[in-house]
Amino acid sequence: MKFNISHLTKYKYASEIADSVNEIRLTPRTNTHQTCLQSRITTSPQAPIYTYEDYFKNLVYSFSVADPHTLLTIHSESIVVTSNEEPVIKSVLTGAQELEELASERFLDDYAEYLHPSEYTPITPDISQMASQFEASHTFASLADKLTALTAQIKNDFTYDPSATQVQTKIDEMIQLRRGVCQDFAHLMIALCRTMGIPARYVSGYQYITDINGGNADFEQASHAWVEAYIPGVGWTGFDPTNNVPINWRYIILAYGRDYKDIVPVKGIYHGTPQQKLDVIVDVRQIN
Amino acid sequence: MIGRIAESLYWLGRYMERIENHARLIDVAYHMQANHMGQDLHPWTELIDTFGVPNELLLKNPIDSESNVMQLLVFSRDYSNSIISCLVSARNDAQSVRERVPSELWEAINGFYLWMKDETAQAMLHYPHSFFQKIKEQTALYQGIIESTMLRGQEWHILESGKYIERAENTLRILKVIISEHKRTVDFDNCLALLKSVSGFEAYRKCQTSPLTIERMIEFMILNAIFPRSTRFALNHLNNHLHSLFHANIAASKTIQRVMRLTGRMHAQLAYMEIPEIIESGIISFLIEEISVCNTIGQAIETIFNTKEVSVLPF
Amino acid sequence: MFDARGTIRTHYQKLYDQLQQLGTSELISRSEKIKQQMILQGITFQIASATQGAERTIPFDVLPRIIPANDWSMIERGLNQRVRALNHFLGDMYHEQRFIKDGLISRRMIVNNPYFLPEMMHLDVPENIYTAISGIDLIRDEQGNYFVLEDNLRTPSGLSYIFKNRILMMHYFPDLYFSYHVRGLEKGTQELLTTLQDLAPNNKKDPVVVLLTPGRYNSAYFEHAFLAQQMGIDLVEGSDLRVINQKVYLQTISGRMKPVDVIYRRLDDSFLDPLAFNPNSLVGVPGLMNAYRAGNVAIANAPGTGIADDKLIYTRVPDMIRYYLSEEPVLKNVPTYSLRNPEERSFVLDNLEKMVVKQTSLSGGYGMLMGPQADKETIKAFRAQILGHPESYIAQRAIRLSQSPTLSGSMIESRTIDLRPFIFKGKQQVVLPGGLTRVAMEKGSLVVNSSQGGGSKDTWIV
Repeated sequence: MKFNISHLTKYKYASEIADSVNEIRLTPRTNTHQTCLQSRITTSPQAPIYTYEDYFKNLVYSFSVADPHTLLTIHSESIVVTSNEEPVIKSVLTGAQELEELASERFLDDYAEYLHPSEYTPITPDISQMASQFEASHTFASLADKLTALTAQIKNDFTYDPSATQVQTKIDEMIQLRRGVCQDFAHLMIALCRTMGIPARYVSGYQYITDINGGNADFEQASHAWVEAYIPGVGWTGFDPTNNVPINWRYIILAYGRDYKDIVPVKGIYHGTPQQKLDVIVDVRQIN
Repeated sequence: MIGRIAESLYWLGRYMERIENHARLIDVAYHMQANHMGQDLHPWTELIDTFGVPNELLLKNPIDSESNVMQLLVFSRDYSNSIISCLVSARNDAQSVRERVPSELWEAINGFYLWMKDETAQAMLHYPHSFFQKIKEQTALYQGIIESTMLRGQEWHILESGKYIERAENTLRILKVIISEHKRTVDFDNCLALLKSVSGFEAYRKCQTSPLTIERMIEFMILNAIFPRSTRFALNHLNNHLHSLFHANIAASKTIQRVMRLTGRMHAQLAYMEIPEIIESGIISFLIEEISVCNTIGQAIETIFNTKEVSVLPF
Repeated sequence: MFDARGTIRTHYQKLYDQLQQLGTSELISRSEKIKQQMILQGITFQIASATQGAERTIPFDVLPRIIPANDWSMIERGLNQRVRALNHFLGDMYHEQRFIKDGLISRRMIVNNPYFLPEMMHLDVPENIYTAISGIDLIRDEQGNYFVLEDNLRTPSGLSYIFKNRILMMHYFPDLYFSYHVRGLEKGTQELLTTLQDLAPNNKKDPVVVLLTPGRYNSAYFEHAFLAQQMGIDLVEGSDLRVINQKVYLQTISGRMKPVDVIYRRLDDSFLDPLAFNPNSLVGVPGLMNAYRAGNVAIANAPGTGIADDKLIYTRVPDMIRYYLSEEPVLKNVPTYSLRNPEERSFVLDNLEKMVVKQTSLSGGYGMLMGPQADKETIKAFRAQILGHPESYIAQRAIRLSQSPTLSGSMIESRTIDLRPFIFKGKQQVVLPGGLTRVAMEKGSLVVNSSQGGGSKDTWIV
């Protein structure tokens, strides 16, 4: 499916600010799931843009605005084609083979960074307890089954609530509240996977939502976050613990990382007042 | 030069000048006590007013005895204008710029601090005169090192700018307090004490042979072109230092241009003014006006340093 | 000073004779004068745990440590070799990772190392130099063998004390100093500056070098100010610098922007660039990493060098020397046990009273067990800690460290010493002759770290 994406970020400052330095991770990736046909980023005030690929192969745009200004807008526009194939989550190795692979020295080395706790996905007593309860509650024939069940359970046990948490919320707080947003759901699942020895990474992107008739929705589309876990023999496989639906043509991938900290879509630091107002307008439209 | 460094140098200059002024003032006030004998006026009120000690501090620190007054004005670390507080600030600033100034300069300030930090009000009252003498010697040592070892570069000009704006303002402030305290009845003793507090009595005698009157004293302390502690003299030097700093810079920012304009104007006014004009317009209102111009200049200079807060975008 | 049989070692003879002549009271009086001078000059450091403004001088011992030229030339070769290997290792780890691929180290040990910076991966650093300034801690056993105790490749401190100690000795003990032909340090700060200038991107002529300090409350602020002054470079704080279009500038009060080519930073990695690392820490320079990535500025030492001076990686340095240089190590490591390995662990736990155990993530003498000195309770507590997190500890056989005569009160007594020489790696690689001899001021103590009350001595290569 082909999409036209427009992601507009506006910062309005209470008084003139200067020396703003920024980093943007808003360019869709190209991989087996999707192809990014076009992409561009424009800023106002206009600024020369420096790009590079980070450790996780995300394309990063960086720019600075030295002169005083009170308004900063960053507009990212892209055209992406996603694969129409419905994903099938199925292991190819036997459960025993999978476990053997997960425990092998080579595997532990190859996926080391996705098995290690990170700032947003620490392995806390709460997490360890949740993981062992989950593992004790069922027997799973394969890793694919286990991850599918885990996704369903998180969706079931937690409530989506945009007012419950902030961007800095760590998973322990989310577990206490039993609610959160997609970022918290993703961090929780990543931490649980890693505790169980399954490599997991954070995915940022968009989820295309249609109205009842299947047309372009006129309500605001929001950025989304989900998880990819590594199934030996299969590879990185997507799961959405917020919605518990398959990662299909509706999902558009922007960036990968160990956790949110690696993929922050817009970062910036400047000289001047901390008082500012942020507006984000995301529009994802299906095109022919 | 970097703004942060310039700011530290400027404040180093100001604080060291302030220490010297305060030491002279307290010294003279201390030795003037005899003149107050038998009067209702509390001997320390004037001094406390000159310092502008905030009321909440006065409530906490009764000034009912010599040693309490000395404690507050000289040794209190809670009072930001006490001599020790100014010295701590000066030392902090010197430490921030120690690689930019001669090492002797840092050592002189550090040595001054190391001596002063162990002194107490009780102890210094045994030998008040030599105590203040020692402070004056320490500040003289500091000035001497600058004079004889410091490169006449940007660092020097900024240090001196701090010194002269502080001095200009300080002279005006002392005059204002003495004159408003005594209304128009400032007597010979007051004038004498005032001149002594700026080490100006001998200098005055060299310039003027006629009897000391309030008009002549004001003329001497504000309008004299060659007395180094007069406001006019200080402004002239401030003006010259700022010119040396920024004159070569054609694309000077608006903030710099504003500072130059303000100092230039104030100096020109004092240079062409006559004492009857001041008397006519009212001495007190004149002093208030000039002090406020000094404040404006000080604030304008600080904007040149441009040290802004840093903020992070929410993400 | 004395060998095992108690006879005086030849290179200490002159010192011994002069001390006899001078007499203890004169020695004490000069020592006291030096201390006064240090306080006056503010040669102080601030203790991390103490409240702001608590300053202390590092105790200075007036009896120099003397190393004969023969020993030194071996040490110098060993240090040069080690730094070359470590620098190769860093370049390799942040590019092809051959050392991992060839099975010499596990990938986990690198990518999950807290000092590993993904941001440095595939980033080409100027002149391929990661470790422009290294401090390598050496100890000497009673037989006179030197061992490497620790590598310091991030922001090693102590350089200023080497220079200051020398100046104080020349001032207060000129006869003694000039009776030896001590190798001079005069070129030291020039060599440091040249090393930094060598890193300037595009071989720029007369590059602008700055020293980036966290500010005057930092424990090593005296050193930052001293080195900046000696090299004649600007001492700057993060807020003095701006990054505009991936170029770093010094902002001046006249509004002019002065481009910066090389940053000698005395700030930890995580504080360098709030945009790249920790947005809550604003002491750094936002955008610096992208300027670095774009090749517009050099940073010394390179960010991410911590993966090579980790206490676990330390055990692999002899392998690095063999692997990258095809040479045998000139300087040996202290025999070290990894507590992650069950066999080595049980051996260590059985012999804790003979071991020095260190927590791998801590430095400065914190989180350490000194087996030979510890009481039973401490050993017991440490045993529990080790069993809880064996991977966080390493153990080294406690070596009977060489001692040096030290003025203590009115007596001259033996105290434990170590040595931190500094290696500068620019287009040339040089070792500063001597280094900082650190001395445990307490009788019988093995801890020489200044943060734990250790002192220092002037070090003479003769």
